[in-house]
Amino acid sequence: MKNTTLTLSALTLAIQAVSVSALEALDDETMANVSGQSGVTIELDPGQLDIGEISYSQDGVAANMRDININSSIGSASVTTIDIDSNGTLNLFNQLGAREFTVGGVGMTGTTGITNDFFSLRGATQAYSNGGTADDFSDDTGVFRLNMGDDGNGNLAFDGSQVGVFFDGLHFGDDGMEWIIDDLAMSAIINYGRLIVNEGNVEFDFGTFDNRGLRLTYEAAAIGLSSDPNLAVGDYGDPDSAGYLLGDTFGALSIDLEAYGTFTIEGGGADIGEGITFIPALTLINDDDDRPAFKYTDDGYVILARNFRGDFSTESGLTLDFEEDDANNPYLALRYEDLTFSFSLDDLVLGDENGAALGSFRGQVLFQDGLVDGIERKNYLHLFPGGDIASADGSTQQGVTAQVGWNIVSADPLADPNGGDFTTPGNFAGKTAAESNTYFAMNDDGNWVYFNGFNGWGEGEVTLDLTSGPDMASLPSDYYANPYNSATGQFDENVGYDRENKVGTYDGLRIDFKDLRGEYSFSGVTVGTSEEEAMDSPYMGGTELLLAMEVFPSYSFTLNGNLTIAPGGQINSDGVGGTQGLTLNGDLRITDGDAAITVDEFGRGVWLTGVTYDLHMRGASIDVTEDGLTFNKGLTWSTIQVGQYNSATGEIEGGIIFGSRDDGDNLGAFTLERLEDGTTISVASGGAGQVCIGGSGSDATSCGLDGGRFEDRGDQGLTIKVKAKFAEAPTDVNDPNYYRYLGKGNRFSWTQENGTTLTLDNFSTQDGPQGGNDYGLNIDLALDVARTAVRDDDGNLVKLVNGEYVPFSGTDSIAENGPLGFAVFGRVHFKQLNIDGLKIAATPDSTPQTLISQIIVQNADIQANLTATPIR
Amino acid sequence: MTINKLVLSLSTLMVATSSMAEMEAIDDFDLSEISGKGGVYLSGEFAINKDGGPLWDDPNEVSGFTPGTRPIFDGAGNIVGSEECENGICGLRLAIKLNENSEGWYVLDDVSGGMSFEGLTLQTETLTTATNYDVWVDGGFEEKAVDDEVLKIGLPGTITFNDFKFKFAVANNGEFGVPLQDGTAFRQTEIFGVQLDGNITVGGNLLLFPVD
Repeated sequence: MKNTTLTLSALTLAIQAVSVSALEALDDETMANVSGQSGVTIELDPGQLDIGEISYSQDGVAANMRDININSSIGSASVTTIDIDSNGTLNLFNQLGAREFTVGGVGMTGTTGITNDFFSLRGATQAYSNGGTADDFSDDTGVFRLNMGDDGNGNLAFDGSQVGVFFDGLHFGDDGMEWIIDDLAMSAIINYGRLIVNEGNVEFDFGTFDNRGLRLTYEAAAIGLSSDPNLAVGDYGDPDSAGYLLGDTFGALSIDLEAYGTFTIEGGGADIGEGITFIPALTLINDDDDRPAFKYTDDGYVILARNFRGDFSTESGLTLDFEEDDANNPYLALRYEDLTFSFSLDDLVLGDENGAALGSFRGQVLFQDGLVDGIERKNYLHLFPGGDIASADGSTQQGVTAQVGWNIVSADPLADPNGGDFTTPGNFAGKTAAESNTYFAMNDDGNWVYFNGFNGWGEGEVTLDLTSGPDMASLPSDYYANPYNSATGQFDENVGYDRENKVGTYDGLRIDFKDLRGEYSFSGVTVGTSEEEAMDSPYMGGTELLLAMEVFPSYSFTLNGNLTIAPGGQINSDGVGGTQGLTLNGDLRITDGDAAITVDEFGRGVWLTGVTYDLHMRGASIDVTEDGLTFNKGLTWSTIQVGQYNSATGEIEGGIIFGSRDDGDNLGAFTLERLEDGTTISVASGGAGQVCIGGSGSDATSCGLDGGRFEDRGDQGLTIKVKAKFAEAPTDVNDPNYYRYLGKGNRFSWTQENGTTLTLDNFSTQDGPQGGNDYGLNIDLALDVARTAVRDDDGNLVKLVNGEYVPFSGTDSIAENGPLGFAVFGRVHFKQLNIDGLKIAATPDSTPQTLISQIIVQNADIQANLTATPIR
Repeated sequence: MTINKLVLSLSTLMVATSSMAEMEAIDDFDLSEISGKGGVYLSGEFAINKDGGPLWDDPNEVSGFTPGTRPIFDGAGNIVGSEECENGICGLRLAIKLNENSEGWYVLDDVSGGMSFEGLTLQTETLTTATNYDVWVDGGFEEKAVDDEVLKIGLPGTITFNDFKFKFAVANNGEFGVPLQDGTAFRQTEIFGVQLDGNITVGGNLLLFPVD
């Protein structure tokens, strides 16, 4: 039972050092505008407003906004009309005036006085506008409308209330850098809203599916960064023109959703004392074909979602508490014992706004606190004001430090009730399998594939800061350093850009990961023509087919390092104005990793254990182009070390393990070093389309004549293309890439338990004898759900009837009656791959002997066109 | 643990009574304690260059180049001749030079074609009392019992080869058609060629596991 007292101390407003002239603005001139016939009209000019601090406290810990200022010399009057209609409903209509404001800091203060800020704020709003449509509230901005009356049942009704605001610019500041949103319009409209005061809580009722209470819209023309804290707020020019003051940007974003359901607030948080508990039971929905739910625009191309529905629910509620750590640093604690979020999405478009949709998607995440092996796995987010990086002179420390923990669960797989050898998705007591699993599902031409039974937990610290990068003309000497030394097989902890001492940063929003430990696993893949069928289907492998994407069926890791996200990608598709998209720079290291190559639902398989993955990216980017979503890895160098040979003991620590990852048999250790320049990974709509298996031919007739089986996998599906460009370090010091590639390469070595080491040295791609490295090594994956050929013991083709395989009858065909499977059409193709040699050594430390001096592979197009079905 | 070899235990191909092991994953001969059959049943095809490859089928390769042929260059990089690929489909070329001081290359050339199957299974399980197998230990085979976690590849019974072909050759350069640095023209001698069409039967299981 929760503390049912709504703590009034939580509403304490401590206004200090105030000059509240705005509250005294009813001078003679203003009073002249107040008329007293039908309600009251009040007109307020912008007055100078300076507030020293507004704070809100719980248990002695306060959240505060300080140094609030509204500039009296800029802006226009706001007009408020107050009236009470014949139903006894209070109608307050406030047409806001334009304002320019600053907030020196938004932060927290602890009981011992330790104060830090999350960020500072600057902004400029526009005056009231009805958007050119008097009847349509959804495009109104600069408005606050409150309709409050009795609903006839003793509850307060808020129908027709709204709030809308348009920021010419909104700046979030962090130690002199600013995150800027240009032309931001936000609106919330209550079509149906009831405030119900229950015993012990307050409940907001926002209606039902047929009577949706809320409409929420958000639209930003551009999002960018600036290192000039004095940049004038408001007019930056046109994002699509050359003189745009924000330069390169992340792009434009709009969200348009309706909501219904209830939202309950109770007094008391997670612990004894003050706090608030929120219990949302809300559905977010947009099923209007003409209005996208989400739209992100990057240089004219979009990521767009239509027909979206998301449901939030929790039994325990989300608690909000203000607390302090052992060193009295104040923080905001958000906790949830359980939370379910499920979503469905009918049309996801990548690339051209009018292009083909990727298909339908569906997913569900079940958060649930748990206890595993005596260790609590909790869901929480602790937000501390102040990031990891202070201002250049050390005088301020703004930013966000987040301590985060999550535990995502699924029910254990269920043994086949008929005694079969397989398992199906399980369920929690009193719930269906669909309600009891965390999954991600994709619909392809009417059939579903579920990546099902996801479990994952983790915890650690993440910090967010706005940072600026080095001068590209005089880069620090360690900007391109590689901490891995091939000769010793060791990482030098003191090498690598900005590992620990924060000497170097990049332009953008920097995310630092500190000992972020986590793990996840999938029970497997299930397929079906409906959710019900997919939840009844046997688990099968299938995620193994995605290994080429470095997607592992199961993975545990500790992540350290940083990733900095800057506005502007590397591809300017429309060629106008600045470049939109995301640029990424980062230095990341995964340690203590265990990754499964193939694994069953009980954790047995082939494992890579004792994994260290050291990764460095310079100038990577994410762009939306006409081809879909493209991730360009820029200059990337990485080392994957799986297990390690200990020269002192002669033993392999970690390695490739068969069986259980804890006590399976060891196949030895390996190391893969890579140097890539310009590798791209792109995701686009459309799967394999029409394929000829076992022959060649572009249609059913020609394929059949060649002895093949023609399959049409439809227009939908997903295509993922990896275009890896492996580079070779030049020996000429005048080569422009000499310093970028120095000390790095492409190398694979395998050390067996007795120390014997095989090394594939220095592999690189090439466009053929004429040179160049544009084509790269390509891995194309087309994912579909398709019917396929399955045979019984006697070699007869079978179909699935009531969960059992039965032989085909007379007119049955594979295309119509074959069992559904997860179809992956994988291709590896390259023009030329050069490998400098295959060497063998008695131990990793001894002098290697050359087995093969040189290997050249030309003109390769290797295909695996496989459809996976469960083993029944 | 002193495990240092990977045995591809082809010797345990259990071709015996049923070649459709995927439909009855536990037979009498196997084991009693299998749980978690999270494997997959795969149908489809592996193919190499079945419609040609990217190097010798790209019309933009170099000026004067005809797709479906393999150009031969002079020392200046000009095309001075070409070799037509069979049916206009050029296969994969794998060239290996064993000795750094040698001038010769071993070449597996013009590899193309596909093999299709229905019912290759892949799963992991513990074989505790299964058949013995031979393992190479200190210069000789020893018979050992399987008592291990294995990656079990259930073979599909029938594999159909579709125009699968390759040539074995020797050449003076790894890159096709490229002369040596001293100007010596590219030369290649084909030793033999193989072409496979039709079905082969491979039943039973292929077990993959590390051994002592």
